[in-house]
Amino acid sequence: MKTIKLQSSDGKIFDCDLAVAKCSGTIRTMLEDLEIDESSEDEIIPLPNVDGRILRKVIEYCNYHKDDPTPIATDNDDNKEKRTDDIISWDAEFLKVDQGTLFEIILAANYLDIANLLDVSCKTVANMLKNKTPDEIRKEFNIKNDFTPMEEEQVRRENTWCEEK
Amino acid sequence: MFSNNTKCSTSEDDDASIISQYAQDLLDYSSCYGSHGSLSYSAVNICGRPCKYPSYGDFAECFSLRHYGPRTDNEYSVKDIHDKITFHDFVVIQFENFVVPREITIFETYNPGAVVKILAYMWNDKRWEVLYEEQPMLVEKKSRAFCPKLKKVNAMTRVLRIEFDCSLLDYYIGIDSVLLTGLKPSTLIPQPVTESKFIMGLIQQKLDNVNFRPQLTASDAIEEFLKNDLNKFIENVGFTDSAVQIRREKAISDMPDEVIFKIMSFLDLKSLYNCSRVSKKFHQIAKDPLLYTEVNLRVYWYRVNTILFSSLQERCKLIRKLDLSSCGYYGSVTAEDFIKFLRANGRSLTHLRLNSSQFLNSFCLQQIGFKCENLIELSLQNYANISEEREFRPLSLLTRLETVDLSRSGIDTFALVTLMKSNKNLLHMYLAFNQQLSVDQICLHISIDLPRLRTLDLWKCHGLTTAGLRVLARCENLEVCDFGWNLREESIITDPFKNLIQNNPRIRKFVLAAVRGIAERDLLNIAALCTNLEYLDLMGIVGITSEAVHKILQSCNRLKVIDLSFCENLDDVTLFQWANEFNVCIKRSEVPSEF
Repeated sequence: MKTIKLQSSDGKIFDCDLAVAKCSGTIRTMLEDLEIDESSEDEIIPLPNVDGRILRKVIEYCNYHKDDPTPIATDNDDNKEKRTDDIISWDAEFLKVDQGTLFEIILAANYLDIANLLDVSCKTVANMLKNKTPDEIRKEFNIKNDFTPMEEEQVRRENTWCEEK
Repeated sequence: MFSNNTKCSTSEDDDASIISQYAQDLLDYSSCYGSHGSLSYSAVNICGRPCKYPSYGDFAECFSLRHYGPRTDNEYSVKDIHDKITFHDFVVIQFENFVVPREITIFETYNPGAVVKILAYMWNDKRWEVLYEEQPMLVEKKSRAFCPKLKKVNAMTRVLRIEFDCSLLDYYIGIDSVLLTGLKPSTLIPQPVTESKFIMGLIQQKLDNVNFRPQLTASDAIEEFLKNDLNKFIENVGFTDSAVQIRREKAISDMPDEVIFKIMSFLDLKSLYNCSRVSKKFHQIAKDPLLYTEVNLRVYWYRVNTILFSSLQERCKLIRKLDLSSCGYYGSVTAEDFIKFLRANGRSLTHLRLNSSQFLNSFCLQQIGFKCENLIELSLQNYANISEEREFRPLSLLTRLETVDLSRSGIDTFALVTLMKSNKNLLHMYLAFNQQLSVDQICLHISIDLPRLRTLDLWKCHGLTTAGLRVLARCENLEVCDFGWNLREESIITDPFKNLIQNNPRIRKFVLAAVRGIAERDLLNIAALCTNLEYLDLMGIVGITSEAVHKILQSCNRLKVIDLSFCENLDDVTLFQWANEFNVCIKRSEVPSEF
């Protein structure tokens, strides 16, 4: 099986099966643009937005999921699932990381265009946001409340319906 | 729960201050097995003392819902987009005296375990309070006095809403009675609670300057502040040792907007609203109309109010599916709110569900006709329970409907015929409990105007006769036919019935409960012609023999469920043998012998 080399932002080189690397839409496009295929000599693909620690995780994910059927893209959003309780246990285990790492994985999945990894990691964050008050969300994610008192009053009013009494 | 408008000092040990009472009036209900004007299995049976408890079985004197088991055919569109408990059915009951609720006992006499939620309408606060919420339970099949642990509240009520989820049950529920026990309100001494104020001292001023607020009330502020917030405060004010430089980890604030949008696309409505209060950036993204293409307020019915509605109007510019079922009790949402919303956003709607929506009136229906030209699904269940004056004709301005649910809506024959004429692509039509309809006339127009119709629900409309059956036989695409409690006066229906099933080989669900004219040869015709049948309800058909039913079991290979309750010619031993012989679920209700 043909392997290619991926270079992280901190200069680390990873050998990676071509099929695994092609889970990434970004890499797929790069390979096409650079006309790299099965017959090409050792090429190094630079990935300046992903550091080695995260790239190792991402390759681990793609390796596990490389044989997943590609979801059929439809314009019909009737089938768009909003469920967040359908994360398979391997993925849940894979994403049991600290918040900083989780967000780096999301950024990497976004940059590398790996749809299923982006989905499952965003679902994980969504589960962390669910059933929390605005204050608990700020605490959990270290977000500053930057509303002026007047704006705050306005958004508080919109939200009176979902406050627990 | 700490901000009731009235605080109460009570002496709960004093027996004289406690009242126990059974429900007096039925205010509203989603469905019941019984029909209007008949007491059998009707919702009103939930009022008064228990009449059957502690006996267990299928009693006509109790309240029974129309459906049981996992819902399939009627849960076709607006999905519940969150993991919370949902309900399928409900009753709203009123008691004679106001009490502070302490105990509620529900006397369940058949297939218990479906109560998932109890809410009380708190008179002083003008809002609903959830007293109990749980998943449906699989419990032993015997009668029980269900007395769930209630959330403790200190306000008075006399209106309860009980919600049911029958998805785990394998047959109909039976509820005999509801007992409410509570404290007399006269024992309450109302004390207005003063609003807790934020501390406004030097620290608070400093906090405001540094954009950092501990959200605390005065009483425990200092302790809480020291415990939880001091470190962060010091960090914010800048007392930390600047030599300690930690590599800053990626945080949610580093995410590009499209990622935050994607995260939010997995959130339910309440979580979305909570997010929009977090920060300016979150607020901006959480308001994106693309996050509000499907809005299901049915599960939040007791919280929906005018303010929510007007803020949704802004967010719902691209809305396609909207469910407002059960919203609007006691004026919490008005017809004006709804009409304003439709004027702004009605055009993009494709699915609209207004089952038991309390604000509904003729003006609302008019605006639906005028504004919602793209509707393909409309549901108006139980409109007849809400309004006496009903004008359905504007609905015929709609032209794209494929699904229409008018169960117990009170629609008149003329309006329904015009609706059908302008919506010739109708696939599913639910008309249950509309006894005012001239069903035969409706059937004539179905055969002329609705060539594609797949689902026809005429449960307890009562008016279908052989004349209607004869014209209905011209349809060719029927898959689900519910004729329960129709054809009551007919002695022979054989020929039109045979024509109907001959022309509609795709029928998979057939409800013939209490259809008196069904006889031996009709069952043999079903066995010969209904090769796709999956569900057959023959409840209460007296004259049929075991030979004919056996024939159906043998030839209808896809049959999954057959209901043979009250089929007197069939004995339990035969049914038991069939249950072993065929891979079919045989339903039969338990009726304890009175002797």
